Amino acid sequence: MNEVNLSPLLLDERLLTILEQVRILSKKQVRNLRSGEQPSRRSGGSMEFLEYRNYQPGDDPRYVDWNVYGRMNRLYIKLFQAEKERPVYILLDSSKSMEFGNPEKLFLARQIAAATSYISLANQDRVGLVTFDHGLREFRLPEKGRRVYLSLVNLLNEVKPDGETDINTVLLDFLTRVNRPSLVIAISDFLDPSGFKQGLKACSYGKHEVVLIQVLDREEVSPKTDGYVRMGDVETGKARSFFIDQRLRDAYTASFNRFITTLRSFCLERGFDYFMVNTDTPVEEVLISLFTKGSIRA
Amino acid sequence: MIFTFPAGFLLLGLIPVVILLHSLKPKARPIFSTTVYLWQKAHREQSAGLRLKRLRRNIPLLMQLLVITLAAIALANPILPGETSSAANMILIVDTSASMQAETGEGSRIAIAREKADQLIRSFSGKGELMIIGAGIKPMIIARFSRDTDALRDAVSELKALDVAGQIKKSIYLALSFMRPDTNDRIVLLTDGAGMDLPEILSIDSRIDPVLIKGGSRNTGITNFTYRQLPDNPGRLEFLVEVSNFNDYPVLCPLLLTLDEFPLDRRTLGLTARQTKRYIVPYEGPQSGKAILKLDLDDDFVLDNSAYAVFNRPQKIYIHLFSKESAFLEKALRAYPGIELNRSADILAGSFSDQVRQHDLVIVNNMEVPVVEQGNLVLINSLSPTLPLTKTGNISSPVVVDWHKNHPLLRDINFAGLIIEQAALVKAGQGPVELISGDQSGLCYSYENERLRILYLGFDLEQTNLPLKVAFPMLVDNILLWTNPGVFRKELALLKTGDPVPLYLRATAKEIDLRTPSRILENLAVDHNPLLFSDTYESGIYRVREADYRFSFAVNLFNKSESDIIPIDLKETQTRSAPLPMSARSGFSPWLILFLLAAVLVIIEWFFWINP
Repeated sequence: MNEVNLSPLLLDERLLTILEQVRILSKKQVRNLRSGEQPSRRSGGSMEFLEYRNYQPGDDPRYVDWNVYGRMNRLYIKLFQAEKERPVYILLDSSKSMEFGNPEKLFLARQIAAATSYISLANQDRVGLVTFDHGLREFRLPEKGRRVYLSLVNLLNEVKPDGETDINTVLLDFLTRVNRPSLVIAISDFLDPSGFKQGLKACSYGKHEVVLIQVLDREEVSPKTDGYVRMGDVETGKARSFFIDQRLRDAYTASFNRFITTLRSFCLERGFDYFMVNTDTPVEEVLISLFTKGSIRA
Repeated sequence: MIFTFPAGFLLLGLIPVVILLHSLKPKARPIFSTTVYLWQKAHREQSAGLRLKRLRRNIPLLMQLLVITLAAIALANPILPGETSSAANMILIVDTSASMQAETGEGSRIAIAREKADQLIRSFSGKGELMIIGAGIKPMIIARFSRDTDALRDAVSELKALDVAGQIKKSIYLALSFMRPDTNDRIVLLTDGAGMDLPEILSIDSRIDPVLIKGGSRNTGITNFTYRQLPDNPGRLEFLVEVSNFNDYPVLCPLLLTLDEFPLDRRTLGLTARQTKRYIVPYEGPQSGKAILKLDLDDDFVLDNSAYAVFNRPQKIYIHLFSKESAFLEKALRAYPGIELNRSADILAGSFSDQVRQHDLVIVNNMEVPVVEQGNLVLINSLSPTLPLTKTGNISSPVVVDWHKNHPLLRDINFAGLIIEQAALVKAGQGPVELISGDQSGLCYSYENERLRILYLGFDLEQTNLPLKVAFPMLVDNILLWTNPGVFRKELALLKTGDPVPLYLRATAKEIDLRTPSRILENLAVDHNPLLFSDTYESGIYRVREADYRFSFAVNLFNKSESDIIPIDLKETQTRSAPLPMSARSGFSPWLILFLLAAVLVIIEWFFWINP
């Protein structure tokens, strides 16, 4: 682990130590909790024999089993079990709304992205990083090896929040590029007036394993704002005036909770893992929560 | 419900202010959020039950409006009609001054005042009584306290505006003398406010309710018209004319001056707004007749469009002098142009009384005088039993120590340095007034009763230096004025309406006929001379006739305050369009309850403010 040059902004020595501990802890828990439910990808390997079938023109002649041909004088193609290793795509929302919060939601989101990529790379998974706002901004194809981590961290550090969020467009666009079933870890606030269902529904059709990490600020969850305000949208700049009193705050909280419930239910229905984290939550607690639930293999 | 202080409703002016304050929004604090669309959604959901919520949100505003309304009503002092424990009286004072003749387009002001007074009487439903006072040149009780509304209305219907300046203040004080303390007695003043300081009058007592009679404002009038003889040429006169424009716009004033209907001067005077102009018309000719000045202008107040002056033909004074000789006295008397002087050396006792009665003045010098009952006498070193003076002796070289400086007979006379060789020592009974006091005895006395005027000089004119002094002709002049004042005085030419007029009549006059400008003939008994005639309530020419003795006098308004008929504009707090019915005066006033209610609401609002 020490061979990777880590950015002090994202994962410091203390955090990396914690990650190691989390990794060891979560391994035990995954074995105990999920054995038989989700076999390890590394148990079969990528060249494991599956079956034979008749050779057809256009098949790669390298896969013809010449031994069978010698015995039976017929061309058979040797089929192997498809490679079970699925790439990990970390989708990081870099829209302007991620700049909101104290500390910024993007800061926690980057930490989570760095941590998950670190763990995944450590597990010999291929990790790709995608940043988005209303469209895909950066698309780093999955790569394997711990050395990739540094470039990912550098990329994460270069992410500047800007633009409006459009989850549906982004996910649909992402899915056109990624055909193979992957582990898609989407880190965002999912605060998109146009919704999220269309994009997430498409993810489920692609047999992707989806983990949603919703990063929110305390002020978004339970606002303390009071009085007469001119409230501007951080992404669009459009402003509306409100007199915020306890009644309006209660109405907002109810509306916000409905939004969260809708997202959570949607994820539950489609087998997506859903995590909601607050910006004031220590990143180690977030990671423990992620790994202990097995959404991300450690 | 009646409001005794309607100005209290001015407090309602706070309502727009409070609404404005509530409608003001604080300056919005700019903030940024990622969930504006959720806030909007929440706001929309919250607005679903908006009416009820707005009502709840506006409860403080509604309470404040209610507090203001209650306070305004309380301040306006509402009175609920109710039974009175003590009967309240009402005194109606109706302004009958000249300005109330002004036409308003709906009748004269006095007609409107009569109508309002009639309404007040008809609406008078209290247990108290009602009195009516006419406020002309002097207060006049038109109807005493009564509950007989028919009689009161009849009295009001007889009210007329006189041609006089109003004396409202006197009427107010008269009315106040009838007000009972600790009662709800009220004074209702129906006036146009002209010729008076109404705010000052209203400040006399808070129980005065003014009812302003408005309407009519155009007026240009003659405010002075008189004449004088030129000192250096008595045969020549000058008429002084003063015309005032009381309008706020310029006018052209066609003026015509006639003397016994013969035109003397005709001119058109241009006057700017609120301007007064004077001009003089010289005249040379017969100094008798009636001069009338007419202003031919259509305005709302015709009374001051005419002015009058009278020249009475100079009359002779018949004087009989009983004297052996008196060169000084005779010379002094003959200096007067209108004096017919007869002289007798002796007195015939049987005819003396007739002679005295037939002459305007009888002068007796150094003779015994018989008893006389009427007439004007000057007794010089002579005594009559009629005169309560008794001669007890003579005194030599008496010294004048004092004299009655204010008596009309000694007006402007200085007796300092008077030398008298010998004078009668007299003892005065009741009646004579000592005019010149000597060191031992009175030297000069006056005596008068209803028909008799006597001047007594207790020394011989031949034995004094009085005829050589300036005091002598002045004394003669004063004697003529005292005994026949009407002949010499010019005051009759300068009379104003309402002024009492002393009618100087002949000593034999027992009754006179007096014809007013409106041709009403009055027969007046003469119990004094001069006879004081005070009913000069009409402007115009009054004619007096006593047997063959006739004269006239003119009376004019000449009061700028009355002529300035532009309605005054009192503040709402000082007047009201209609006075309160007496039943309301005696009713229940819930102002304290309303005030307490407002206070309670304020406390409730304060409580909810600190405990939202």
